[in-house]
Amino acid sequence: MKSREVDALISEGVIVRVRADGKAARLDLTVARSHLASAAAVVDSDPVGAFALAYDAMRKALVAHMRANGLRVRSGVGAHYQTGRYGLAALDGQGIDGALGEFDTLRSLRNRSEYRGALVKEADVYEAISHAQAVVDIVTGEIDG
Amino acid sequence: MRTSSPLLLPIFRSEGQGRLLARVYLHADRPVTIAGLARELRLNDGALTREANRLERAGLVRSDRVGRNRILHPNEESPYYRELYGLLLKAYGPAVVIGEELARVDGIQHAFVHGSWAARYAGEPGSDPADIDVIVVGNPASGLELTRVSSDLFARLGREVNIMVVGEAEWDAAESGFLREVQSRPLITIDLTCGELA
Repeated sequence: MKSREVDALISEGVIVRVRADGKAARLDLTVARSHLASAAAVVDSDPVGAFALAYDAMRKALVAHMRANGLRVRSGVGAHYQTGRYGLAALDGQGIDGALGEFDTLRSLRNRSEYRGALVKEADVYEAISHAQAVVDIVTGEIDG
Repeated sequence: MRTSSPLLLPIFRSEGQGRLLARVYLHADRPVTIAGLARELRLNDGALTREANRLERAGLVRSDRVGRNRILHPNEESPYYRELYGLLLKAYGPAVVIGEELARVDGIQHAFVHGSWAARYAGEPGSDPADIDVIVVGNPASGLELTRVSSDLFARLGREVNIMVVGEAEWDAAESGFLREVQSRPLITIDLTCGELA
């Protein structure tokens, strides 16, 4: 883990230290994997729902990484955005920079998909699943490895 | 700054002069120093200063000094102000920038600026609205790509650009109260050909 970048988020007050909980982290990852399987299953019939599941799988994998390392995002407005910043800080250089860099784009489309006129296509779901799967795999490897 | 003459509106002596005027006139709420302008517009510092002097002598801009920094503002007292503002808005304003970015998304049939920005284009006076509302008509290939467009537009324009997608049949039928309202108010057609001349 890139401790310097994460320390900067802690200094900023975005991330706070808590007791590390590997068991809860593994449960989060199990849920994230279920979300990915469900997203793939409903992509044709419900792309908006599938996209939300794929996004949440990625977010929960990042939350799992925080839990395993004794960290969490300070609750409040913008917690999802800050989770994305944590991912970029903590998992930089592990071959998933592209996926992590797209977290905020996924977050933005997920938020807008609550409203009329936002577009979620099947291709978007597959892209989200691909990014989320990459993050879930790396975090699983770190926690179980 | 002897940049080439602007393709879209070749009445300015150079593209650089057009961009300088557009930055000062269209973003008067975000004043910036000459040095900042040079960086932002990627123009030579000295040449930009000479151009600013020329525009100030002509009464099209005015400047304030803050310490050693000089900050340009549009001269709203100029007899040309209102018309020049309108020209710059049409040639360099959000509709042009939005068209350049939307052009990279496949499946868009038409796109329009609506709401307060469109009203401003249509000549209704008022301050620049914070957000820009855009309606995209058609079946765009990717929601994620539209989201990236929106994010890139925020970086370029310094304003949120809210993009709403409407199917062609829904747009043509205009059965909802919202679409009827949108279509009854000023609409600015966005050129999706990236500024190509017709």
